[in-house]
Amino acid sequence: MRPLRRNQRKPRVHGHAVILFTIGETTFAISASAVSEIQSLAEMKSIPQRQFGKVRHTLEREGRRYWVVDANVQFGILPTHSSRVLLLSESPVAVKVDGIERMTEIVRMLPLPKAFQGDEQNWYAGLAVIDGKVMPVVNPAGFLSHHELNALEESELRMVQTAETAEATA
Amino acid sequence: MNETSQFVLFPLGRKRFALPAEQVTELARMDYVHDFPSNTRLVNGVLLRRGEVIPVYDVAQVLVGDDAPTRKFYLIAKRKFETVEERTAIPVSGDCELTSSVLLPPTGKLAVYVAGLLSLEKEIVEVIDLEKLTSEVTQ
Repeated sequence: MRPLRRNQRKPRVHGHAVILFTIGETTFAISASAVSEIQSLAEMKSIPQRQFGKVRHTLEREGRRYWVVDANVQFGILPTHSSRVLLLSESPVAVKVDGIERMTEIVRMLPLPKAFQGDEQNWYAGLAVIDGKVMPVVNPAGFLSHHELNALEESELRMVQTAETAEATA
Repeated sequence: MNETSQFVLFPLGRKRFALPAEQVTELARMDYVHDFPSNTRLVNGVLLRRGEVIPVYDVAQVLVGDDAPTRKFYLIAKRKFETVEERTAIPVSGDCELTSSVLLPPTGKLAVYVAGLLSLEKEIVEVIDLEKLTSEVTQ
């Protein structure tokens, strides 16, 4: 008979790393792989012409410009005290939030119930149960659509062209 | 032909409404509602019951308006979304009752979400079609 091995452990269930962030009293999760960096608000610049209410700032990082989405406006939450910006890895989009709670792992993501028929279908990739609490897992592609991104890029291009024309005629 | 079917009667304040019994799966005590931003009317959040996430669908706002009383229980009912069936928690204000009755066709003046009427001993009860109620409030 083989002796019992004391160090024999249960197989570890590998989860999916998420970052928990807060806006007001709500905690959201976002896949850690969707975030390339977390910044303070110090480097944000105001946009003179606002095309969308939720995008009022840009942020430059390593030669790349990010459109900063105000998560309060995105999710219809009354203004709160923002202190951090999450830079997304797959698109030139950053998200202004109140703060970062922590990083954790989720074993599985539950689908958003079909009863939710509004914009939240696009906002959330699903739901996660963390420490007995149900939290929405945000869809990184749901902050700005391709159409909105194109409109922002075009509007900026027009502004640059107008400024150049004004400079040339001066 | 007047066929008798089973219905679950649920109170919302002084008035009672009904759902077909085959649609109802459970009556549950009030529980913590996990809420998060959404803009679907009447959906107030979700319950977490035995690992299942159940949306809370507060129909009282439509059925009895601003006079909606304090809700004490959840009537958990099935809803169909195309091919998918999902459970929904409907907050109700008191005990529910199972009854057998003939479903009478709705008359012209009733709301579109009234699937029919039950003529009980002391009251006429509206049978609610949850799908029609949903499409009514989202329009």
